[in-house]
Amino acid sequence: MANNMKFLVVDDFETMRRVVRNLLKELGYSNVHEARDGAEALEKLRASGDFEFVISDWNMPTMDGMSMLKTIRAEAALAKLPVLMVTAEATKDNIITAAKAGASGYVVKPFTAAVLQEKLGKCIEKMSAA
Amino acid sequence: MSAAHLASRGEGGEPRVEERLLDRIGMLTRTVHEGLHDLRVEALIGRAAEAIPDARDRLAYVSRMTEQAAGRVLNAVDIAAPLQDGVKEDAQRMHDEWQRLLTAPADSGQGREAWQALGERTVKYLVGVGEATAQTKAQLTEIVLAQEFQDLTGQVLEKLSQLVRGMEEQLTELLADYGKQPCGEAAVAGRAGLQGPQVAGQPRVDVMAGQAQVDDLLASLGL
Repeated sequence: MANNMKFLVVDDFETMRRVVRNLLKELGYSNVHEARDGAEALEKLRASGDFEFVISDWNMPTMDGMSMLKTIRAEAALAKLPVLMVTAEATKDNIITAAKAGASGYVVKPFTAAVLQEKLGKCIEKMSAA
Repeated sequence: MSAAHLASRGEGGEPRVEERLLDRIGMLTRTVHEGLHDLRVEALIGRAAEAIPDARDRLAYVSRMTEQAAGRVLNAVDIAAPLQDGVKEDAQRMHDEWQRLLTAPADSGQGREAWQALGERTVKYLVGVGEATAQTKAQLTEIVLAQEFQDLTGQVLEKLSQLVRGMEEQLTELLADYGKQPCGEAAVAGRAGLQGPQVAGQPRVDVMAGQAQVDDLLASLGL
């Protein structure tokens, strides 16, 4: 199953970016781009304008995932972009904050391929329903 | 002031020579005592502080080794995965070709040449499978070898754990000397913001135990 949906994977650890990229490839998504933090991600999102999905860590230097998510939701051109948070932050407050900020899904690290696939599927379903 | 002390005073309320001497000795004793105490405090803090750069180096080592290992594993997978995809795709193609030849009607003109050609392609494919599996096996070995970091980082972390325990003991001793209780609870209460991954230790009530709990919470929030 090949799918050309354009992804942006945002994480400050290269290893994590590669792991997510590999999982996406397994799921048939090979159009995957990467950013090291929220600021770089926003630059790429604004510059290209055709990204369809963002998978982001929370805790990153320069600009964290939550600030990035809030910025995305506040920018008309990006506001509808699905953003799946994949993070080690797992307090109740964290999750409520993410939900209020408009996260499309929330995956807690460490995660399995099946969990990522399920959440991704749900987000994409919601996208096509909207 | 004790009764004996009062009795040693002269008529005009002036301390006598012995009295002044005793006061002086008392002050000196206190100075010596405080000096010794300060020295001990310094030694304890000094020892704890000396351990910090060592601990930092060890942590940096663990970070470096785990990152290298992750890189080795991901590189091996990047090499092996396309080999597997290739074998799978070629097998499918060979299967389809054989299926076509075997099910061809007898009068379709698929003569000996067609069988010969497919046979040769099959032999070539089998040679390719041998090569691809040998290369994949080499990458699996590489993945196994990449796990050697566990032995090294395990030793370093064990040493680090001892180091931290030593620092904890010295600092606790220091607090005990000052008559204060270690402030474990205050430290926990003072945590704020991003906590990173949950590690063993005291489980916190507000931390989700896993993805299922996260999903329940999100569902309750209508997500």
